[in-house]
Amino acid sequence: MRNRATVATFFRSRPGMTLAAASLVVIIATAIAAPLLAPYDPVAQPDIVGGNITAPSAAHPLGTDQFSRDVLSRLLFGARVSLLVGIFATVVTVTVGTAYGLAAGYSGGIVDEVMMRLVDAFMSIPRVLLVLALVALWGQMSTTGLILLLGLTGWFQLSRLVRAEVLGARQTDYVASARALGAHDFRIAFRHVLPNVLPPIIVFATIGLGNVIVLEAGLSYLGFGIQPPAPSWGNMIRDGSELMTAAWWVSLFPGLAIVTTVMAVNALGESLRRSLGRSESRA
Amino acid sequence: MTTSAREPRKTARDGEPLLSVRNLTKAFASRKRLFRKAEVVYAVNDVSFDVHDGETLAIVGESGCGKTTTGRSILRLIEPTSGEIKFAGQDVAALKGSALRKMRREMQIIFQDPFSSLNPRMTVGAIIREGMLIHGLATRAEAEKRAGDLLEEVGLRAEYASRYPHEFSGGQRQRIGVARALSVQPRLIICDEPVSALDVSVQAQVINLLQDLQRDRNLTYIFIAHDLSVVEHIADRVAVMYLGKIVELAESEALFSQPLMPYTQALLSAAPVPDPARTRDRIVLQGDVPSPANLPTGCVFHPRCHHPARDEACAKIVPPLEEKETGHFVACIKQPPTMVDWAQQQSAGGTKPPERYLPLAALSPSHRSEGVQS
Amino acid sequence: MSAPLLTVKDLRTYFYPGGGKVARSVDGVSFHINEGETVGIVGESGCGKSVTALSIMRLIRAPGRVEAGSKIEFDGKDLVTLDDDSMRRIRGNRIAMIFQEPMSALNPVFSVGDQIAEVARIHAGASRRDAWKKAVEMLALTGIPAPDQRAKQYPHQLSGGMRQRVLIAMALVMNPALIIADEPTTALDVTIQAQILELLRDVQQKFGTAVLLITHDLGVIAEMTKRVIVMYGGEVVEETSTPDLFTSAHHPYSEGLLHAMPRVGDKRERLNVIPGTVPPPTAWPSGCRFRDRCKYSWERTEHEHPPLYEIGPGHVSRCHLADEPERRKDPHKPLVARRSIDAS
Repeated sequence: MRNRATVATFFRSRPGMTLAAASLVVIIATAIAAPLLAPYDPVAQPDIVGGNITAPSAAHPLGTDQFSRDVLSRLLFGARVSLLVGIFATVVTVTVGTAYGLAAGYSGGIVDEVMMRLVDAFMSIPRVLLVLALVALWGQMSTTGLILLLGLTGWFQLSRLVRAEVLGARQTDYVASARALGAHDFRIAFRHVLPNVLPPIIVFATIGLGNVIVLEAGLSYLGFGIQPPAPSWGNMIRDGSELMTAAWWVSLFPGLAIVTTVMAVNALGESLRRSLGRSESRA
Repeated sequence: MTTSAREPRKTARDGEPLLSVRNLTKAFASRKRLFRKAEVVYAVNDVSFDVHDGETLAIVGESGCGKTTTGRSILRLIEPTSGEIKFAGQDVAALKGSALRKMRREMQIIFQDPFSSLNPRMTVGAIIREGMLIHGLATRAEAEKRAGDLLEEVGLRAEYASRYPHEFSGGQRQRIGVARALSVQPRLIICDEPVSALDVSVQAQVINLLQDLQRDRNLTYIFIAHDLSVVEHIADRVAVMYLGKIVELAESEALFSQPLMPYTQALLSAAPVPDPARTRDRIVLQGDVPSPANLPTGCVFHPRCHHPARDEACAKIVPPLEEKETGHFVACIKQPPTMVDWAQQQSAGGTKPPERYLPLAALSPSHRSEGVQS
Repeated sequence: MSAPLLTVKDLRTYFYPGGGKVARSVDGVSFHINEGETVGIVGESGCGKSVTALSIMRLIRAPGRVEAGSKIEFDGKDLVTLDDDSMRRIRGNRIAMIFQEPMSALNPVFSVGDQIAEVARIHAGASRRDAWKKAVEMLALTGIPAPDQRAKQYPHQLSGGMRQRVLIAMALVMNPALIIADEPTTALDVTIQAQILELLRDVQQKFGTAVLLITHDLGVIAEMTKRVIVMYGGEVVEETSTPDLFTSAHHPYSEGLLHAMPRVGDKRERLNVIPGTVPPPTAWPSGCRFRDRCKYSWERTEHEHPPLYEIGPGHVSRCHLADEPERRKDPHKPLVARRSIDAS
């Protein structure tokens, strides 16, 4: 992609990816611009005493919740939290998983064996249970804590994937040639192996982002994640869960937000997988 | 057309060889399968040879004979199980860490597959510069200039440095691989089937390039190949491998005019000759190459051998690689002269005394008259 | 003389990879094969030789297609327009194909015996028992030791040479009139190649099957064929008897190929090269398609596409030199002037 024309054809030939990417851009932009877009303070409770729930109206396009807070404003600010946690947790996952997989695949032998058996052990525990157990140990969660928790429980599969790719790349003649040229292991790993295993990592990261958003929502729903009154999509659903029949709008809109975001992320991941795979086989 | 393109090279045969390989062995333990013991496969089995400064030694053989493993073991791209590799007086097998990396400057490799041998995510220029920068042979600016010069030297354009490998054809990629190998000014280049993936017309271009470079830069080649016609064209000496062993090693001229190992004879006679007038006398070997996990006893070639004197002794005695004529080494106890004397052979169950056997079919056309007389 | 077994007339097979590009992989190819004859097609990758074979078998898939106006006559039928059902009855029955990579041409989950037997079941309606017997018989015919045991084995248990024998056995089950062999020995080692070529020669003599042998190896051409077609740029550039090609090739491309090849028996000397590379089929040069790489090209070759000139009986060449022979500055030196010593 050296110039504009090729960028344009790149997207034009992939309408699915373009749509998914565009939706994500919109979602992220709204989250960033939340203070500008939100009509009210997300935690303000104008009617503390009455706790007035109002249905969507001109004043409150998405209604208010049982604490009389504006749902739209909470949704916009909640997006910040959900995406922030999602993206940073994914960054943690990718960094740790890639480094671990690279180290295991590149060292080989007994080191590799031990590292992978360790991963097997971690993978035998379902992630949700692991997260809940750690939350219980940890007690109150800060946002940073949540990011670390989600990030550090998500890299096992990635490390296996990276390791397998590294083992494949290590067999190639261009790596043999780099060794023959006298390149250091470190240089080979980062200059020759890593760039060639990047495509599956990118795909994993994208799909992993969707998972983390759902997981964070789940935790917050259960009350372990982002603590009220700070809004997150998960705890917003929880707020409305007991009022589903009376005040559907409280839970429905954050629910829709999660579904849309995760679908866009997954669609992007899927089309990335296809197009990266395609360019690989062509090269 | 008949004038030889190259002067017979003055090689200091009496002096130290540039590379000396002794008893090189590489054993792989095959992966343990369920309910089965891991078996040991000898890919290279006790191989010894010398390579002199400025010469081309070809290693030929069919797939699985160990020729590629031999080449890569010399570079320590594969760790040899045992054996000694001496390069310019240095013990390569004992080198470690930075000493090993430094030594690698002196020995380079060109690969068979022009597609997997270039990193698809690096520009051609970066690929060629890498070695120079690693060894501190040039500053970045110098390296850039030299990469351009190298591209021109291998018959490409200097501007190609900014492109990626996938923009080039197989022959062009092979030239890039050659430029990369040259970038660190090596003395020895191991050419691992460098032309077998290329079309005939492109093959000729690359072979000529390799010969020109050898002349201009006084390079030494180990040329690994399965195609005997290419080998005869480029090699000074030829080593023939079969099932991990060198079975014959001779000057190219001697090998093609007087192949003494029955396997070499079959290999030579099997190559299709582009001459419709040549009668089809041919040694067709029966059966397949045995599995290296289950090597035949005695001579590894005996189950498929066509030597008229083949007998029980061949299955019992491991033939030593002996010098039958000056510089002509053969591993066959049935081709005289041999140190494994008749009494020894008889006690191993031999019934047919050794006899000189040189079938006409084994000789390449231009050698036929000489061959028949000798 | 009776009509040829197969007549290909003006075969054009184009591929449409998208982006408005057209790859004219096979572009106006005509030739014929008589009954029991072995004809070779030689050329480098991208010359259209394999696409020609697939077109005859009608195995061209989208985005490629055989263009209207192409004719492939076999047994008095036009294979281009034949309905799918009749075509299926011809494939594997009257025309069989042998591929380069025997591993991918065999199904890994069935025993080789089953796969050979299947051909007999499809085309001859043989019973399971008879088909199996036939399979074992065919394996024996191709020189596989212990055929009744080998038949029960799976492709991965066999060596490359064995697999190629299995493919040949499969091709021979219905005693076809024509076998198309696409680089049948390219993936094999030389000593195994020698075995397979010998086998092909044997069965061809035994059954009188016509063989269309596609290869890049002039050695294989010399040993196996009587007549040879040289392809370049999707076209036939020369067609002649095999001995003729080696003694008096006319087209500069054929000449170049012959000279570029290192051969056993040649002392070390510089190889002649054909400069440059094969152009992509989406952009054949105008005029003569070989002109960019030809040492003789002059301005006529740029705009006038050469027809197939008749050089001698049964010898045609797509080169304007036939018209202006004085332009051949450096007259052709026959490579095979010497007769082999053992022939005398």
